[in-house]
Amino acid sequence: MSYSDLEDIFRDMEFDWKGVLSKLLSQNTNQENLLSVPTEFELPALELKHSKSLQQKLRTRSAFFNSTFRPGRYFWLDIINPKEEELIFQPVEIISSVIYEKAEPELLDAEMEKFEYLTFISLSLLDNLQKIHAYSEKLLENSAICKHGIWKIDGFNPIFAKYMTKRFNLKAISEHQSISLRDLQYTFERHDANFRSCLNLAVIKSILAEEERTLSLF
Amino acid sequence: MLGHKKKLLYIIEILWFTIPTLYKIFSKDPECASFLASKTLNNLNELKLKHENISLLKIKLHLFIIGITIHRNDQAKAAQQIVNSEIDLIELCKPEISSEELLQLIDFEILFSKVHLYKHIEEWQMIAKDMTEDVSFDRSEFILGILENKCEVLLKSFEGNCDFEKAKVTVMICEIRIHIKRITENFKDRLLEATKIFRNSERLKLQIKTQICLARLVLE
Repeated sequence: MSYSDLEDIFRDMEFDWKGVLSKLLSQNTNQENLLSVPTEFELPALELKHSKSLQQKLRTRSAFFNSTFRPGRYFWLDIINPKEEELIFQPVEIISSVIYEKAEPELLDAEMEKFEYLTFISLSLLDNLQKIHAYSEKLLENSAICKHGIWKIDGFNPIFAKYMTKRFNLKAISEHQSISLRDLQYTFERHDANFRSCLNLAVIKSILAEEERTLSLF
Repeated sequence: MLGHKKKLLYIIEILWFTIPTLYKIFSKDPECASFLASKTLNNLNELKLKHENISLLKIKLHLFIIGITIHRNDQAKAAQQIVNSEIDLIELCKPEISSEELLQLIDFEILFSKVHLYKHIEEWQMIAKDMTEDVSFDRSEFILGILENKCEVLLKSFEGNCDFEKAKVTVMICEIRIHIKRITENFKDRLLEATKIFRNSERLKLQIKTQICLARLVLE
């Protein structure tokens, strides 16, 4: 998840995610274990050739990193910056697999939130593709880009209804008015692992089993 | 407040169809979307979720695989085998759908996909120069027959709104009629209507396709 994704997710909640996450990071990692602020040479995807000067870029980037989080490898989380003014939070794989081995109910709740958010992202990507005419429906399309007949999403689906009220506010797609195909491709690629994880049957089965277990208690 | 199971059903209904679609559009690997759609279908079968919307999702995923197979330049015979087996699987899901209107639309989508399969087979054979002009002419007549006598009849009997489907059929009929030089002025109004439907739905490519048909009709 990116910084913008997390801002989107927690926008309507009274939850200081930045405070909690930075506390968690410092609990698990002594300050001396933190990587030093990466040099320009170490930062990936740095495009210094274009518009802004080197000094300007360094200033912007430095201010952004120093605000709350610094990119680096922490005990359970990698914070990377694939492009300027963006941070991606990526759980360390081995830690994730241990956590998911015996998933706690809180984790399953979080998974549900993730599924819901990715539903919004996927719908928003498709809507924006249509909006900028980057992808057009063919005569034989048979995909979620279609909005007629059997392809139309059930209007009574509460997740879809929620998306309809939120769709113009997804910061993670673009903070700007104009969206390009490149922005959409980038958003898709950034969520590639997240989308694939939504088809993880083990997690879905755990959620369903947990619900049955809870119901059997009453 | 929705329970997890109910909420999950609503999410799956959307997300497990948007994901394969996104891979169809963005992924550099053409096999990826088809693989994910098959994986999703396996998941749905394993979860044994009983809900009409889940059955509809399965049908959509089978149609999605059919669409990809037809557009992929595979061998005609292999494509036909995949399409036929996917249609058989759709038939197995259909009894779980209670809405008559939905069933009619599903039948239309199957028929419309078949028409495209026949059209693509024809194109491949023409490229391979295995067939003469006359045989190709017959095939167009054959496709036209399905569109006019089956697709249109099915949509005419439909009581709900199926303007978009009708517009797609109109465009395909006109394209074939122009190809076999049997187009008349009567189709002009139908094409204008189809243009309006695609414009209102912001389907730019389909709108342009229809306008090209209209221009060719005028030039005939």
